[in-house]
Amino acid sequence: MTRRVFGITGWKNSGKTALTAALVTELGRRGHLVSTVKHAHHAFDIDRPETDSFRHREAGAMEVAIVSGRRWALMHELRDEGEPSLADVLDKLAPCDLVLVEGYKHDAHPKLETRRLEARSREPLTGTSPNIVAIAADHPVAGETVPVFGLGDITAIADFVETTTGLAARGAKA
Amino acid sequence: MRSRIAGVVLAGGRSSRMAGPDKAFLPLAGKPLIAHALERLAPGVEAIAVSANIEPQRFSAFGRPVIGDILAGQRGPLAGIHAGLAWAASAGFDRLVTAATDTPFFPRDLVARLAATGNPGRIALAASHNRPHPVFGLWPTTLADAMAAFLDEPGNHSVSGFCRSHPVDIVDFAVQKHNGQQIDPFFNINTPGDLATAERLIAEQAR
Repeated sequence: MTRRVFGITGWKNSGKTALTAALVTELGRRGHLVSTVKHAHHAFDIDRPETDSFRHREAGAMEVAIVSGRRWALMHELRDEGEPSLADVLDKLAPCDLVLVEGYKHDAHPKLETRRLEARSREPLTGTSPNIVAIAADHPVAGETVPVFGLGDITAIADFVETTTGLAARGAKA
Repeated sequence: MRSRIAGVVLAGGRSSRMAGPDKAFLPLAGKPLIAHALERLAPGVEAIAVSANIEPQRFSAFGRPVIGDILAGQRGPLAGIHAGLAWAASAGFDRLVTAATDTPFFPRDLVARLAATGNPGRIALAASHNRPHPVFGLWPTTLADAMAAFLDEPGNHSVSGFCRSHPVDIVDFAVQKHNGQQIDPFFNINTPGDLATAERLIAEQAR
């Protein structure tokens, strides 16, 4: 199954998550099935102490699947294993039209860089992060060769994502 | 208006694309194969990038953009060409020339000859001995959508398979004569023996 991949990257506090969430909504409204991958900090946890699943894991279970009639989650403890690559993670996702990847600024999938004047840094990522194909900023940007969007211009950014990933062609065919 | 051409060297993924693991880093005449390919292709294009899915930082020493596939479920050169088209289109280029990393003697006039067909809207593929080498091609960036749609369909995702449904110009490159030997300019390295042959050819040329 083909998974189209498009990334949102940028410094902390540059608006990545807000843009990712807005794109999920907008692309979903356009009829695409969208999944996301988020790179998080070391000790992130989706579970809470005192839950049964938490106790299973603390007892040493390698994986814990927690399942209900509404959703399920699979927690995998890495222990001594290395962090999986983005490609490995993408392989685990169910078939969908598009995977939006937040973070992973050193991976080579095509990505948009978010910039805000209030972000942790104003250092452009276009020089160091591979395959930045567009920028979305809350201020005017000069001297870049890739398209620049307003950070809030979700319609134009969603159009660009559809075009870049070939989703537009797929939509026209369906 | 003059057509703007970017280039991509297809360095592949972990295993299946183009051949074995890390073929791009096999040393030939003291340099990795990828360096040979970049040096050969760069003079003919305005911008050049490396297509690779795995660990892009491995390529950072070459100072070129590294682009990964958009169609991540895919393996193979067509997905790399597609990502190259998307990269080139977003940077304002009309056409993309592609080359493989494992073909150290590909013609230095590849881009000029492919562009000389005078059909900027069509695919131009290089050939030798009347056999096309579809990863050595010049592609209109407007083909990105059609390529994504083709990759979306089940079945054959070969570069040749895609080219069968589009108008293509074939540009034949002459076999090079070298000390009485015939050398195919698209001779590619698949075995240690091939690498030794390439070393010998370079050593003889240097004399």
